[in-house]
Parts: sequence; C-alpha cells; structure tokens
Amino acid sequence: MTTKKEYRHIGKNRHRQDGVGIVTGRQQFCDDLHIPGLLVMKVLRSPYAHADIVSIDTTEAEAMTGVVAVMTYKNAPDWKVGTPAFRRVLDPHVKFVGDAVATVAAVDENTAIKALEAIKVEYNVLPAVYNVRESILDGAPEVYRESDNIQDKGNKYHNNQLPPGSYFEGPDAPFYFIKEGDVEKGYEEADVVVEGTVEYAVGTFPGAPEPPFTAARWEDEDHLTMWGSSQGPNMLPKLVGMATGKRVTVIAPNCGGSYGNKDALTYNSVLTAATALVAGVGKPVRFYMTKPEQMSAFERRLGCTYDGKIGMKKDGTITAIGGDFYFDTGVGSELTQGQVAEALGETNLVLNHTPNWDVTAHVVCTNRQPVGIARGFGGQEFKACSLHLLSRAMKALDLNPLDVFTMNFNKPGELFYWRTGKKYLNPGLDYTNSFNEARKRFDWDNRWKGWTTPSKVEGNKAYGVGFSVHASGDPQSDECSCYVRLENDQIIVHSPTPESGMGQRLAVAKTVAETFDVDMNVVSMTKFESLMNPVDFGLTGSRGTITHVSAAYAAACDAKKKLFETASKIMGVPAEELETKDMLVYPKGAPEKGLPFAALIPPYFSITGVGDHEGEFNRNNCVLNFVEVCVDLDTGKVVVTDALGASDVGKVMSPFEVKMQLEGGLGTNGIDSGHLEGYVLDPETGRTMNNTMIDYKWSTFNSLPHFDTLAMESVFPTANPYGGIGIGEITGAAAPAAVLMAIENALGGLEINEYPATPDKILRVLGKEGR
Amino acid sequence: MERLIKLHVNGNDYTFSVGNAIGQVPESETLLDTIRNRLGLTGSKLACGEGACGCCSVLMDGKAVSSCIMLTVECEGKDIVTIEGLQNPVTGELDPLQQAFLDYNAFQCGFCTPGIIIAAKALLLENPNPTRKEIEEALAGNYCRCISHYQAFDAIESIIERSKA
Repeated sequence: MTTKKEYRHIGKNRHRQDGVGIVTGRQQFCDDLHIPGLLVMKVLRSPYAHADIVSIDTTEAEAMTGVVAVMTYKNAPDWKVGTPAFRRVLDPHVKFVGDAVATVAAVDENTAIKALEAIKVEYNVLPAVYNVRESILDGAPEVYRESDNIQDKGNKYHNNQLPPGSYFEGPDAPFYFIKEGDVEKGYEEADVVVEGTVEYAVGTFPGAPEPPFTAARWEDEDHLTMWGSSQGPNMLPKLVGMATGKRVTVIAPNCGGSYGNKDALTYNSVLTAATALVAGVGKPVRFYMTKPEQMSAFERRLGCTYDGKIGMKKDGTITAIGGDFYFDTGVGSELTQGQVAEALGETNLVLNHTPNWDVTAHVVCTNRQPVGIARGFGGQEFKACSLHLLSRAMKALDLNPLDVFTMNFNKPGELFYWRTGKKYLNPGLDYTNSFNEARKRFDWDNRWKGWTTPSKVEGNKAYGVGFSVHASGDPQSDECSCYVRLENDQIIVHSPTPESGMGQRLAVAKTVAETFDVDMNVVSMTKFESLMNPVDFGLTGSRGTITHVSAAYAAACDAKKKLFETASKIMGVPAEELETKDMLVYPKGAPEKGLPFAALIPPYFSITGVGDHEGEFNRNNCVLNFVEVCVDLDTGKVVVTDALGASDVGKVMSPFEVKMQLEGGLGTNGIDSGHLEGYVLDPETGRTMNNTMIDYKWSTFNSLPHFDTLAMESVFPTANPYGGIGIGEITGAAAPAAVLMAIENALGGLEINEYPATPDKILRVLGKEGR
Repeated sequence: MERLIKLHVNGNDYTFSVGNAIGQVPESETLLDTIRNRLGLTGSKLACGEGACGCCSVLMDGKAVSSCIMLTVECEGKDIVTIEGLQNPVTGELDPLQQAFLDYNAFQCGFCTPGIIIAAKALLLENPNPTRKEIEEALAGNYCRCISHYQAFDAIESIIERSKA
C-alpha cells in the first residue's frame, strides 16, 4: 500500500534553516563561538601503552606566566565515567598510548603547550595487551586492577572482562546472551554445520570531520555550563551530572559530523569540567582535540571476534546459532555493554526464525584507545562476523543469500529481542517487498551466478556481488518532549533537536508548518540549549524521525487546539468548527471571515502547546546493502564499483535527506571497512600508526562507486504522524558483510575471515603472497 | 624596525605587525589562525591541521590552498577570498555555487562544505567546463565523511549546465 496524501511540506525538498549559514560559512560550530575569557586546555598524554606514574613534577609548569591550572591525578576530582562508572578522570595507572596524564589550562595555546613540555614524569613501564585473545588469559597484563573495584549487579571485573549489562535493562538481569531452544539438537537437525572464527577486530575511526569539542565554566560550585559538539547534547547534563553530582547545562551549536560517535562526549566533558574546576569558578576552559588526538585518544569503533557455530537446512532454515563473541572495548566502555544488547537484538531480527540460540558476549579491555558509540552500535560489528560465518553454510548448500535473508527476517506478528533482554512483537512492519524490489533494482538474479562463480571476469579483473541486511529496534524508542509557542505572527518550536547532519531540525520544522498549514519561514526553531528546551534521549539510533517528529506534532496539535479555544471566544464560533491556514483562523470553508493569529493572541502573551513522545521498542527499521566489487587478481586491490542502499522508510519526510543518509552507508566504517579502512597498531609499542588524515584510508571524491538508492514507502504503524521510520544510523551497517561476500564471490569462493580484506589478505588466499 | 604584513582578504586590506609581543602576528601563525581569530572569519575550519582534509581551504590568487599550513607572513600581497567572501557583500546575493549547494542540499553536517565550495570555485575559475573526472580530481583533497559527494557533484554540474545554456 502506498501513501496517497499530498502534503504541503512533508515529502518535499525544502531548504534547511541553517542552509544559507552553511554555504556562506556563517553557521557556527563550537569552535566558532566567542566565549569571553576562554582558556585553552591541552592534555599531556602517555607515551606508553601501560605504565604506572612513579613521579610527576608540575612545579615549573605551574609557575609559568599565563598558566591558570595544572591538573594531575593528585588534584583531580575523583569522578568516573563508563559502564559501570570505572574510568577515572586522571589515574596514576596509565593504560594506552595517549592516555591522559595531566592537563593544563592557559591563556593561549602556545603557553599551554609549553607548560605541558615543562611537566616532568617518571614512568614504570608495564607489559601491555592489545587483543582479546591474550587479554582474557590468566596472567595477562591487568588493564584494570582488583583495587579499581569494578562491579555491577553482582558481577565483577575478571580476566580483563567488564561486568555485563548497562542501564538498558533497568533493574533486570544483564542482557548479554541469548540461550533458548536446544542448539545441540539444532546442529543435529541441520544439513550442514559450519564452525569457525571471523574477525572485525582492527578497530576503525568513525571519522567526524570536526574533532570533539568541549568547554566548561563553573557558575558556582554546584552549577556547570558546558558547550559540546554533540549529536545528543542532552546526554551531557545527564551523564556529566551523574559523574560530578552537579547540575549541568549544555549549549550545542551545529555538530560537525558525529555518526553516533560524538554523542555523550563523557570522558572529554568530565576532563574539561575537572580542569575548569581547578582553574576556578567563572573561568571557562576549552578543549578542542587535534585530529591525531581524535584519532588515537578519543573513542573508536569497537572490534569484534566471533568464535561461532551455525547449523542450516537445505531449505534455508537456520537450525541453530551458537558461540562466543568478544568485543574489544580498549580501556573504556562508553556503553559497550549496551552495544552487546543491541548486537544480540539486531542479529535476532535478521535471523529471526532460528529456534535454537546459545550466543554469549564478552566485553574485553585491552591497552588500546577507548571505545565509544558508532553508527551500527554493536550489531554492525557482530553481524559482520556472524553473517559472514553464515555465508559458509549458504555456500555449502548452494543457497541464494537473498532467498535466505528474505525468508529469515522478522515479519509482522513475530517477536524479537531488544535491548532490555525482553521480546517485543512486530505490530505490522513488513519488509518483504523491500527485499523483492531492491533485488530487482540491483538486478541481483542476473549478477549473482553462485557462490563460486564471479559475476564476470575481464582479464585480471574479477567482479563479484554481495548482499547483507541490517535492522534495529531503536527507531521508536525512548522519550522526547517538545513545546510549540504561538506569539503574534510567529510559531516558535522548542524542540531538543540538535543538528549533526541528518536534517532532523528540518523534519521537525516541516511537521509544525504542516500542522498549521503555513510557509516554512513562519516557523522558528530555538537553538539547542538545555535550559531553553525540554529533554530527549538524543538523535542516536535513527530515533528522531519518530521521537522528535511525534513530540513536535503533538505539541503543534496542542497549541492549535488552544489557539482555536481562544479564537472561539473572540469569533463566536465553536472551536471544532474552526480551521487555519497561512496564519489565519476561520470557520471551516470561509477564509474571508478569518482573523490572523496576531488579532487572536493578546500582545505579550504566549499560547504554548506541549507534546510528549513515549518510547516503545517494537518498531524495527531495515536497510539492505548490495555491492559489486572488482578485484585485481595480480595486486589484490579491491574497487567497489557499484552499490545500492535500499529500504522501506514508511514515508519519506525529506527526499534529499533520505537519499544522502542511504549514500552515507559508504562512510563511517560502512562499505570501506569491508576492504579498506582500519587502524594499524604497532605491535611492539601499542602506538596507532595511522592517526592522521593522510595515513588513514577511506574513499575520496575521486574513488567513489556508482551509488544507487531506493527509498520505498508503505504505510507503517509508527508514532511518526506520517508513518515514517528513521534509517540513518544503519545505512552502512550491513555493508562490510556485503563487501566481504562480494570479494569472495569475485575470488571464486576463496575464503577470507578477517576484515578489512586488504590486498595482502587477498594475495594470501590467491597463493600469491610474497611475490 | 617594526615589520608589517599586509593582507588583502575578501576585498579588504588589513595590516598587522609581525613579532612575538602580545597582539602581534608571530612568524609561526598560520593564515587560518589569522582569518579565524583576528578577522573573525570562522567559515574556514580547523580540522586536520596538516593540509589533508580541505576544511580550511581559501582562494589565494584564485587557487584553493590549505590555510592551516600557510604561514600568514608568507601571504603578503596575495588576494585571499574565504567562503564569506564569495557572497556579494552589498546585495547579499549568494555565489552561484553557494546557491547550487543550497538548492541541492549538497551538505549534511556542513563542516567540510565551505572548503568543498572553495575547491569547486577554484576549479571553475580555471576551467568553467570541467568533466566529471576533472571535478572528482579537483575535490579529491576535500574529505567528507557524511557522504555528500554525490549531491555536490549534482550541484556543481548544475552550474556548468547553466553556463552552457
């Protein structure tokens, strides 16, 4: 069924409100703000992957002209962040190359850098561990120690593994495994059982162009103002508030790219707030990471290693899935346990008809940079491994992957696990048609010639195609509120909607303009300041299309209802017989009898509508990634030549934005993490060797594939008033698995079990290594 | 004797004293720092700091350069145009490229966009009728992680098509 109704703004391309600012350079990002008296903060970082600080002398630095604050573990507040809260602001036990040793706040950058150079530190260097295999062994270097006393819900840190569970489960048991049915029976019933290890483990750089920015100013000893380049700025008052025990306000102008990664900014925020506390009340401190700092000390995408076993029947039924997956969280866990929960849920959505499960997750610390949130949120990493192992079974049974995935995907009326560990019922979102239409659009059935036959071969160039699918239960989850204020001839929207590129502020403004049937230029949005707007969970997980639009729609309807009640008294017409268009209220069908808003709303008076969205976990989205690759059989070089990102989005709110979000599946460790991008670590020193934009590889303007997009529209039962469902978070989440499938297809079925499939790995399986 | 440096930015002349005293432009100051911090032109962004991402691009004598790796003291007598300088200062009319980027929504987060527009402007100044391949090469030094590349191609090509009409 297709939505028939034509809207004035919904579904149409409209200029973003910040569009002129962006193309003229006037739109402000955090570092463009003028904050009077702003001090510059710099961080002294550990040159060692693992060490104890034996002594630290800051005397010379503190005496330098222009230095306002020097902070070490000795004078830092004892605040902790992470899940559970365990990572100290500063600690004498440093745990990765780049770990913070001291901070300086000074009147300018040069003075701060000179002060860092004047700090004398003596280290006792310790053995370090960089991979999950070695980290969980008895006797491995202890990333955290018994004395750190890390525990949650009765589980203790043990063998470098963090206790399972996060706030997602509330008071319930941690959700870190799915055990149901009988996997041994499932393996016995299978026509083929595949077993093995797949690694998506190198860790990748989410890649926001704007490095993380945080600034902090203490207004008094209880009140903290922060500025942050955040995708979900309301996380700062919550999480920094929890870490500090203080009342936090946040101001967030446009964010220069996030991809989930610059969300809470928790560690950077508390480090900045702590330094500002040392500097003193009323002295603002700014921390703007350099690009190498962002790339080697900020939060990266997690790594996954899966030791798995999957049973499958000839008819495409998956009889059992089992094994252990290990998430490398480095020294930090910014909700990695939450990513475990969603990884399980996302896999369960895709392999939904599997009756027997025994899959357990482990969150493992290593002496690598911390992990944070990144688009795909655990599911991308686990599914890159588990669905690749599944391809072994499909190959053995000569099954078409499109048939298998279409058949096994969650359907209306079926249950799926989500992040709380409970199961939720799909109330009617059917993506079967999306699979079928996208399959035709990519011409899959002509291009796919079987697991061991390339699509085509031209000389030393072999082409292969691959497919994978991702889904998330986040789009309608968590709460959001909105106010809509009518004053004179204005409609003012107080929505907690930030802007980091998805254009969600445009969708909110459109919703309000649509509800009042007015031009877009009548609607003004407040800036993101937490004291000015109500609260939300943030725009992560493709939520905003439902949560923010739903709250804005409810607030606009409430304001309109109150406006009609006021107009009714003035015009002598029952409120239910009124309608409005272009800022005129009139009896239905009689615009000539109308009065403008300004004549209805007394001067110096506001009519305010309030709207709330209540979260639910049972509306899942779906994105399908198709790719074609060309593999040079002499050099092992892979070029992605064609891609299709497809989905049913219920209702397209903004055509350009949906197209660009689908194309965005190429970026942020999507397609490119299948064959190209990843961190390179020096195995001797633990130092990241490609922490610059020159050394870290991803697609550039002159290396892009042909990219097709398909955004379908069905009428979906979502809380979005127009039936839309967000997809932005997951548009590239299935891509790495699709790329690896395509590469193996081009190689005639040769097998690679490690991402990214770089030329060295391809030459190895071709038997051409070392030539 | 006091050393002075004269900059010509967006049609205006500026003179700075060079030296290490407070308020002077040190020899080590980058052009990006000068235009952002002294002239308040914050459309050019600091990101990689090593000339690799293009976020700080400005036009210098019509060519796109990375202002984060240009020293201000090297810019004497150069004609510099920042993203702010593309817009008509009197009428407020957008440069056709700026208008095309707006109309095609050729940005998402928008942090890299000023640099991409500057690089495209430099290309069109040199070659008003580039091929797709020439556009791709001209923008290859501008990173974008949101993947707004495809809309940027459409925006730039719309200008070229219009100039042919």
